[in-house]
Amino acid sequence: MKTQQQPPPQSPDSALTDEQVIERVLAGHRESFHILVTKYSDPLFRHALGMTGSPDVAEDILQVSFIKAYQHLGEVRGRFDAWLFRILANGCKDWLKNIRRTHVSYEEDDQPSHYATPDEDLDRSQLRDDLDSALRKLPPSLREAFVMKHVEGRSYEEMAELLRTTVGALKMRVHRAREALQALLEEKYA
Amino acid sequence: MHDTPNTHGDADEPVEPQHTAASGAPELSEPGEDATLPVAPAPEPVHRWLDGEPVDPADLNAPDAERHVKFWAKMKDETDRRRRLATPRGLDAIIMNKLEPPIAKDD
Repeated sequence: MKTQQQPPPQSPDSALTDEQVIERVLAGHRESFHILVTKYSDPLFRHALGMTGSPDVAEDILQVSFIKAYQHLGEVRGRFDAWLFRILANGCKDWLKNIRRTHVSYEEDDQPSHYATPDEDLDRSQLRDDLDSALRKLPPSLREAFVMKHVEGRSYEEMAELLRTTVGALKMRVHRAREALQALLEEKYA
Repeated sequence: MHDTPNTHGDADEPVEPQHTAASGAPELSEPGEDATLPVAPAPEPVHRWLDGEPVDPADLNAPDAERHVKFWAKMKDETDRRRRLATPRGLDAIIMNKLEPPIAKDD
């Protein structure tokens, strides 16, 4: 008996590779870009928050990064996630440079406690603020390495690929960041 | 382009002492060398433990490692909490609403 050939099942959105999603978007299916936004928002938001210390600024940088990525989607070469990460990471660094240049304080308007929950105890809240304050005292490259390793939980190999540097250099940055943070916080949290 | 991180400075370059606008506190030019806050470097097993590598528990209980382990255990609670943070609800819709019509490929 001859069996009828069934058409291949339509891939669910979650099964699509980034390259397939990009093809769809470039073919005019703008809504498919939502798949990439959903997939990468959380880790990128955590990175931006770790770098800027401000939830509002992190949201802004995240929005701008996705919009830039969308506008330049046809230029992606290689891994989309690494390309997108570099857009956001550079956005964070630009913001840090700019805020130093203009000496505009964001602390008054954007307290880290914006992302606190009311039922958290005071000690935890204090630790959060103290860690934010200590992170702000690190040079951006050390802050970036510490955030990627300890907040985002990335491997050194992944970090090296994203930042286009060596594992050894990143280990050095993370070690230096740890030593600096411990020097700043140990008296209170020994 | 935005995918050229080297244009944004690198950790291996010397860092000029600067003041952070946020805190007004000086940024550390050479982290760990702040003369006002001396701290003995953590022993290598502590760094390996923090890197998620296998470590002999005896090395972490050694007298020179103990205070570092205690300190970083406290910090780990906070970094773990941050790792669970999610994008504020509705931000994806805001982003999608800001997208302009797609730019088609040249070819």
